[in-house]
Amino acid sequence: MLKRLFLAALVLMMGVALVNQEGCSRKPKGAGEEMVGAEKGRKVRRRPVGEDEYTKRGVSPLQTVYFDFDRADIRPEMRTVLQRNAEWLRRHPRVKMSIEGNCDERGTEEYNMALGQRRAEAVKNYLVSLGISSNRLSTISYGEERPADPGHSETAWAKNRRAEFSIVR
Amino acid sequence: MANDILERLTGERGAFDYQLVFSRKPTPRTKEVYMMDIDGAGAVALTRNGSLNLFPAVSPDGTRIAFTSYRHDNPDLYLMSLAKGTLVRILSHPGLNTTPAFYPDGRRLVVALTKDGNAELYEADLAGRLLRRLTHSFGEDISPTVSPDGGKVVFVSDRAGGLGLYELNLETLETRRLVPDMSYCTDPNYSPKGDRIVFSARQGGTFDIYSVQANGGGLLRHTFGEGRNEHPAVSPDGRLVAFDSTRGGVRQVYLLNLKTGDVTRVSRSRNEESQPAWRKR
Repeated sequence: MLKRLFLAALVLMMGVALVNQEGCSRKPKGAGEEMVGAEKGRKVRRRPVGEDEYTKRGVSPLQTVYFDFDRADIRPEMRTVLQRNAEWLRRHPRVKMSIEGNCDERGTEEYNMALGQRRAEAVKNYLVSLGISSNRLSTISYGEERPADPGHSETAWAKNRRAEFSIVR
Repeated sequence: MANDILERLTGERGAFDYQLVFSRKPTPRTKEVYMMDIDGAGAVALTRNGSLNLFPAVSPDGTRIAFTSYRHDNPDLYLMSLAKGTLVRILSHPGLNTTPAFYPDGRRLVVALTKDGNAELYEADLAGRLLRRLTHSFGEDISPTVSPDGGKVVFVSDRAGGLGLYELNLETLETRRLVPDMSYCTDPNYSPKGDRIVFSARQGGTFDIYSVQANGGGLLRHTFGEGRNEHPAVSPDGRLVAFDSTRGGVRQVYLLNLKTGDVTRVSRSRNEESQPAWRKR
């Protein structure tokens, strides 16, 4: 039974990866951001692991949520990402997640701390609205201190305006 | 040595000695609080916890440093006593505990907390007890500086879009906007006499150092588009402004002579160094 559930989850994640790759080819403007999701999807497809192993390794199977410049509201296409993340969380009810809000480098460090916090809270609130218990979700802002891409271009900035998930052990 | 530099920068022999406390980035994912002489010599690490240690503020008597640290996986506020060699976590509310500023009496702090939603300013004592909430707005209220007479706080807020400088009367808690025609201002810092406020503003894509009179008039520009210039802090004698700048490539700490406009690099490390604060030795 467990094995079958596993396979179902694996198929779902492969689907996620494929959707992202399609999104990548269709929408060149957001290519940088979509690619990140696809890479995560591929990683999951290559090495599917169970709840215990995720927890042990501290690697999150949830997809990163990206934001517009100086905004903390959830973009329409990111709602789909969060719905998939909520689905995973429903299937793994014992896992607690930390939501980490991040910003690009253009604002000030002080303001970006606050903006990152708002982004993390926005993601948390959206997941709670989808039925995930708020005491499974914590938030933290890293402002502009943890860029996913250290570059100084719009492509790099788009990858850095994000909320990531990490498993709380 | 530091006095020699002061003499070279100002033409006057310093009758005192100051140091700069700042944040250094030794690795891509960590920042530690350091202290150095104003000629960049004698840099010593005050934290070595391998996390992010940010926004150091020094008490007026130079004995304490308040800063934000992620050492316990949340941006909490810590108070370091240089005299006693102690480090105490004084504020650890959920979310941000950040951008501390000391009152002139050195016994209280103004800090930005997000415990009630967006960032608001609070007054706290050195044990971390919250004495009162100072701002109530839908925006992020951050980066306070307290006037030397203890009567006012100037801070940054996005309550009207962009980032504006606001003055808060600590008696009435009324706020008013300063320099409303500048749409992206940050890092205000009162001069020791309280007559001027230095700050950084983004105009036309670059961050430069500016100052205004305490009433918001008499705008002066002090840097002119060489790199990104932020976090100005006026020296206790009012003659110099320490700030960080990317003008040399990596962001580092520089000193500006307010009389002559001369700028000298202080940092000697290859690491990124930023957010300088003055310390009376």
